[in-house]
Amino acid sequence: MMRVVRSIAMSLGVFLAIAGPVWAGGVAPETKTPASAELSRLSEDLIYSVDRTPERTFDTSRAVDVITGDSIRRANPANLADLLEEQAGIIIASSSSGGIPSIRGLANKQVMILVDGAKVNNATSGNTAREYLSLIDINQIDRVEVVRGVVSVLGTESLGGVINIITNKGAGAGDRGIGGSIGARYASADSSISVPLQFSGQTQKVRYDAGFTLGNFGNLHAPSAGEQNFSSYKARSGYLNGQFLLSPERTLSFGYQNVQQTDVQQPGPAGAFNNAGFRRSMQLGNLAYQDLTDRGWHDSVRVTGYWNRQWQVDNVHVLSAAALPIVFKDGDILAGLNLEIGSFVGNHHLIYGIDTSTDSVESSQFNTISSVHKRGNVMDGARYETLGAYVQDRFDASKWLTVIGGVRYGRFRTTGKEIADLGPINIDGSKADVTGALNLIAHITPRLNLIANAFRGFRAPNVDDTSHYNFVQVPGGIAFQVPSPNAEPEHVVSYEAGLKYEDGHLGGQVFYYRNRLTNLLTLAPGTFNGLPFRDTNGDGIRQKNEYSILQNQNAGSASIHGYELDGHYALGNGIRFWGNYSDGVGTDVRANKPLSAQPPGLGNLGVRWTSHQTHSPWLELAWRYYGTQESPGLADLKSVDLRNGKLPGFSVLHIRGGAAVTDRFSFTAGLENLGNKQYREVGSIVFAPSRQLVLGTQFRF
Amino acid sequence: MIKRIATALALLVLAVTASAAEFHVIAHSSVSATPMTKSAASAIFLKRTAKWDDGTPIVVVDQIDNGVRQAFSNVIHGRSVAAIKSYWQQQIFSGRDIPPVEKTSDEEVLAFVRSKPGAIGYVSDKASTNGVVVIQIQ
Repeated sequence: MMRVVRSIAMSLGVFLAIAGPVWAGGVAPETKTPASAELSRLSEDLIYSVDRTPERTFDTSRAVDVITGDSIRRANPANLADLLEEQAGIIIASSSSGGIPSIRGLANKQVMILVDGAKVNNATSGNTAREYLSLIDINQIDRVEVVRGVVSVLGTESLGGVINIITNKGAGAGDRGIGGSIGARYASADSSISVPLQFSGQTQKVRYDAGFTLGNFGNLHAPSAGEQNFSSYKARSGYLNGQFLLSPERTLSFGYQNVQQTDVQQPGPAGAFNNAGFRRSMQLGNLAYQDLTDRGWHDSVRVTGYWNRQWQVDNVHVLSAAALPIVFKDGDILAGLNLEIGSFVGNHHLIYGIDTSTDSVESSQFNTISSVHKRGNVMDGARYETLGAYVQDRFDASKWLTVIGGVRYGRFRTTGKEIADLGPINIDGSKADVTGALNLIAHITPRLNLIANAFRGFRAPNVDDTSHYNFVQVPGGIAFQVPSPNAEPEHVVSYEAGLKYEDGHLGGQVFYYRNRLTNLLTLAPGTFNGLPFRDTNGDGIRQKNEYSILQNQNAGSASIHGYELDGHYALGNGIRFWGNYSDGVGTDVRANKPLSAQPPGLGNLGVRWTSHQTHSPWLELAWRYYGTQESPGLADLKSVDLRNGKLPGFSVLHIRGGAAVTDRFSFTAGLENLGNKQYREVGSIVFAPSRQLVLGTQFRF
Repeated sequence: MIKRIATALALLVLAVTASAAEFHVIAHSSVSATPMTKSAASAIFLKRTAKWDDGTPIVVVDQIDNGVRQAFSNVIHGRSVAAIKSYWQQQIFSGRDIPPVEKTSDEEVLAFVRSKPGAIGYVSDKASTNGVVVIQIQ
């Protein structure tokens, strides 16, 4: 039945893509004016996410990458996880419906994901599966900006890095003022098909981009493992992003997206349950006002309000019970506000502001066998509030030296009380700290900058850290995690040294980093009501089925250092080379052993030829190298591909190409994993696709 | 302390007054030489005013970050070159507009303005203004 539905969907998508030109005939083609082409070219070199103001990537003090909309269309990825995988220093732990990014050996809640400034990570992000990267419709993205390393002034909670997604707001609607496209993406390894429909419009005062995407993803096929169960899902999404252009200086931006996934499968811990079927969704909304009018005391004012609602419903089939599932429902509503002012005073550029956010948590479970309602993975009704105030100054100390210094005060408060089945839980608490950064940029020549950075950052424990209460998988079996109301913030002191070069043809960056992380929250043996096991019958004596207690404790201390190289070279004649390589070493300082799940040496090399002739054909070869994983993570320990306790490395080659057949119709085609190798990155619960054909079509109307 | 601030302000005023005489605003010979206010000039160079009174499109030419540009920026915009560059990067990033073309010398600006009907730019007060209209700033 599934195959029939899939075939119908695929046929429909291909039909729409091919038939599109026929039924939409007679509409004038979109034309890119010289001004809009220049605008597009100039904006490619800018990055917003470092100093919350657009600046040349070369001029920033940070290790950054910008993925443009053009690059996204060429890569034609299934989701954001696929796209990020080829960027410097990022690995993706692939799961059933997406992936979790890791930057500089830190992942999950230590990597902040933003959409147009709205926080995607919420107070419950943590151990439960939340593949944010697949919950963001890739068709709405104008660019993705990646800042590697600690962000401790203009935001917090990002010990590993920031991934900022900036959506398209209709700027590409063209002179005609309105347009759109319909496309189709097909990938053979999971027989997936997705069909995005998009509209954009622009007048003197308003511009917008709206779209709707349907996707059906089958079980992913790997060369040796074959069809991997628990990797299929369905997705549908819609979005509307736009701006009111109130005056040349004043802009009111808005954005909304709603992504729903159904039939997401995930294998469960052996011995506890056999699989979980998920439904999950994420709705993001933001409203931002920006005024660039010079009023003497400020050059820019920006007010951003955002809203983020996520929920996930898991149907967990317990092995020891009947066929009826336990239904977990975890949800979070996050609302945030940021007021920020920028002022130029002499050669100083000051940015100061405040931000605040509040999470309201819903979490419950319903046992369909015993008809019992209980709390879910985290505390039902818990609240998490943040408040931050910051100031940053960027100034030229001399012709040769730019200094950026900033400081931030952050306060985090968690509130919640409940009576759980094992006893009362109270997570009321408040944490505050001051963090800061100092960045020095030495302008050796107009094309060469040397950089030295120092940061002090922290990440306060969230609701998941303090109140998680459920079974967890551990080496050797199952344990029971209980809340940690006294958890303290994780701290990092980080140093970076870097070099940036850009001459228009050759460009790149090299960064060395050294992080010292303390107070890391790690699951360690703990107690509940004074007992080290889950005393379900209350007799104080451990029975066979009374699992060990684990608790988040600030017991971790780690040292991570490594380097990243990232460069490109434009040969001329439309030929461009690019490449990156990163390696790092992580040490668990307390245990004096290698930190698990640290990325091995990994890199990418690519070459692309682009013709500026009729039809703009292009062709690229992309090669990815991933070294042997010496210390795999928990998720890897049961994997069939471990050899002597190590995860084998791999290298894969992809070939991609495309062309604009007409002014309206374009296509991309890729042959990925050409050598048909079975591989996966650390922490992944599914293998990467076998050799596969990936096709994409787009028709503009 | 107050004395120091007053001295600094006085120096600043002197610097601005001195720099006011360091450039000429020039336009294509077809443009009327009517004097204009600083705010009107600022609006033109920030591309907020797109056409001359007769409907001719205004073509703005800027200079690279040099002494003339710093003087012009301080006097006409009342803002530093860095602030103006930041303004343009915001405009580019939000897909609204691109900054004026930048020339590296007075000679290039003069050649550009002479050749483009509706063009406006600025040059140092030492540059020859033959073949262009000098617009008085009030």
